[in-house]
Amino acid sequence: MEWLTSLGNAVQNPATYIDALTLGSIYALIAVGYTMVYGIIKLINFAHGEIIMLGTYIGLLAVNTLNVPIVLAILIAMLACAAIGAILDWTAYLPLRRSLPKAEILSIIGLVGGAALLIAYFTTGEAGDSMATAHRLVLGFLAVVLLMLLVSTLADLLGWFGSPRNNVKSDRLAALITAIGMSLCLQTMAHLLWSAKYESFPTAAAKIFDSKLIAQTTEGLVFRWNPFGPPLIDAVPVLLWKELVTWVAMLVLMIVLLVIVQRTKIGKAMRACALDQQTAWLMGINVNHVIAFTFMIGSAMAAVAGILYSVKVGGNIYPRMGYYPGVIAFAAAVLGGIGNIKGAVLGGLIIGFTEAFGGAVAQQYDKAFAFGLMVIFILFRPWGILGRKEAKRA
Amino acid sequence: MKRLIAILSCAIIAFALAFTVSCGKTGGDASSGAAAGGDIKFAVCGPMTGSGAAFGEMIKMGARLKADEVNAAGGIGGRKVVLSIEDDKGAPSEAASVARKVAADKSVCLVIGHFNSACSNTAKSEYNRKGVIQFSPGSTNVSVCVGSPWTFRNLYRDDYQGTFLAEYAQSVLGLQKVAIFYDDDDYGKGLMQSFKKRAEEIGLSIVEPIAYMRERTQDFKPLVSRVKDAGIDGIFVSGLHNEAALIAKTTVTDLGLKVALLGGDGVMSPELIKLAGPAAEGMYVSTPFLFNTGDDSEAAKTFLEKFEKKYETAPDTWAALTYDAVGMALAAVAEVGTDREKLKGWFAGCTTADKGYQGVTGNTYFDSEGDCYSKGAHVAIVKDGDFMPAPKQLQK
Repeated sequence: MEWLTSLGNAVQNPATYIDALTLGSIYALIAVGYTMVYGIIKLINFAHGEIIMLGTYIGLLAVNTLNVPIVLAILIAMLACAAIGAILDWTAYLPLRRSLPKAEILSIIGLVGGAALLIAYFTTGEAGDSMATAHRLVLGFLAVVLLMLLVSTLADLLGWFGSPRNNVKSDRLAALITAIGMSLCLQTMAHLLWSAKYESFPTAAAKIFDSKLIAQTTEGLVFRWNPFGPPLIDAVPVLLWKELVTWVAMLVLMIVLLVIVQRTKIGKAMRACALDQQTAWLMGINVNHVIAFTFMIGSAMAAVAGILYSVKVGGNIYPRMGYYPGVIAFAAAVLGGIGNIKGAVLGGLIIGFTEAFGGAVAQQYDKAFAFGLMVIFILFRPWGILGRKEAKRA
Repeated sequence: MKRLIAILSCAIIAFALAFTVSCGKTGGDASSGAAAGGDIKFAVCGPMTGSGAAFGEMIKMGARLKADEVNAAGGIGGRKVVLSIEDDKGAPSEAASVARKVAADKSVCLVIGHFNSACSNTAKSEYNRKGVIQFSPGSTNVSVCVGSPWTFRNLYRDDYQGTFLAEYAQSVLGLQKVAIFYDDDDYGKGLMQSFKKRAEEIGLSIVEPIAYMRERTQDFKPLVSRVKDAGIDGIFVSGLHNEAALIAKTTVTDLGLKVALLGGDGVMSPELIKLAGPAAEGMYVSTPFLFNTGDDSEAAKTFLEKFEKKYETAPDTWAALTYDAVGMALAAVAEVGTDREKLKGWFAGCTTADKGYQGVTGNTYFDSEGDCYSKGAHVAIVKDGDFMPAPKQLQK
């Protein structure tokens, strides 16, 4: 019964609760992005993990090049990610939601052009250096994407896609596959822009977050409310500023989000779109604007989560960094009832606790515990903890 | 108006297409001459992308430096040296497909690589079947050269390194109890086992080693917390630099543990210091070769100078070892030509010190398996943001 002893130790150790709450808060911040988008357009936005990654890189760039404090870097990353979220929606998902009378021909032209590009790159590539070939292949692929965007934007200007009012229900499978494609595309772009090397926030910038709030010394617990003061060198940290910051950030952002959704006009429009898009159109709501706004909010939250996650683990910024937090937060959103914001927060916290306590018992399986919980819920309560039973599954 | 926009857009697209295609063409023309017959072609395989990209970059730079030098001096008997840089992403599955591609290419006479032990182990069966030399400047796992007449390396094995580190930890650093975190692949596991074995023999107590998954384990706080109260005075990381940096940061900033940090040569990368910052200060790292030892050889000094002049960055251990591996391979080609079988005969015959290749990192010659025992290990310490030779080395 060794595992029981380790579980007992974990239960008695306050550090486990602190860790669980921190992880849970980060997952909750990510999960609301999944759940809000799903609530409105029934799309599992697999590119959400890449938004986390982009947000963290933008924060890092802000710290490294503009020398701003990390708190300001979080704000910059939030704004930038909101813009990226909107662009993602306009370029990848919006064309799928419109009626596309002539888009097939355009897609074929774009694809043929792209294929010609790829073949040209492949056949004329430097024979001795396969890295260059791979690089060209990727650049060619991105050129295809850009070409498609150019074509669709021009066609849109010409009115070939029809006016937005001709909105048709998009094919959900097509949107899902586009999301996976966007995820790979953004990852590759990050790879080309910043290389696959791991990065971390410079220690000097993260110093405030890394300093101790509560520490254990020989004379007992010491509270240190001023993170700028001299560091407690010999004390054993109990609670770090970054942990408190993560909890507070989650709490504040969730309250702001709930106020937006429940008390503002755009929030009302969001709820209307979630209930019935067609009727929302008829009531004079521009559903496409509402969807873009939803992407913006979710992406801004993801930026905060990404930076706080990176600060928590002490680095780990690389093009694939969004994958694991992304899928775990997705599990959290499903657990809480996908489409439900409070459910996403609850699900995030539950997954955080499962991972922390499960990890204390068997470290290698910490993520297995989280996903196992999701599987159990899908089997017995597929609508999640707070979801509505009549809601159809994806 | 609409028609005009449509025509314009078509023109832009056509122009963009023509432009990119023509760009691709010029790129090709410039290099197509280089790969013509008669050249000496080596494949350099390593983690050019992925989490080990920092290693791959150094390997690429080291190999290119040697090839450019030789080419600038007129090549080997008038033949130019061509390097084909192959990316295995540090993943065994990718290494297998790289090996298939490289071994099938008849113009490749020798393979420099792979770097990660798991990749070398996976790729070697393919190189054996097709009969091409696999010469690794980085894989230290015990089994890399075992049972494979075509596989060679120019650095020590992990049983040597693990033993060396365990002895260093006990007799030089005076540690009593050490926790081990190991990367769950061939390299991390092999090094952990040899360290643990030697530690048990010499009476250095070990906390049950904890495995992590490279690129998958991201949060090390729960792992380090588990050994926090075990009364340890040292932590040994048997893995690569990214994870070692995270472990160092967690240990120092998150948990405030005051223990000695030790790492194997997988940690030996400037990236460690960049990622971990002050948390890495005082970390001990074993390495097959080290610059700035105070009595650097002339070869090492000139290499350092040339490398810094060309790339404007300092070389690391792996750049030097790759530089030597390419140099040795070219020495072999100069004697026996590019025939794969003859090259193998040259390498297999290189078994004594006087036949060995004298390079930057020392004299390289092999035992009957293809392992290299002619170079010892050194211990570096991270000091003021740089790897320096540790003040006390292990006296044998």
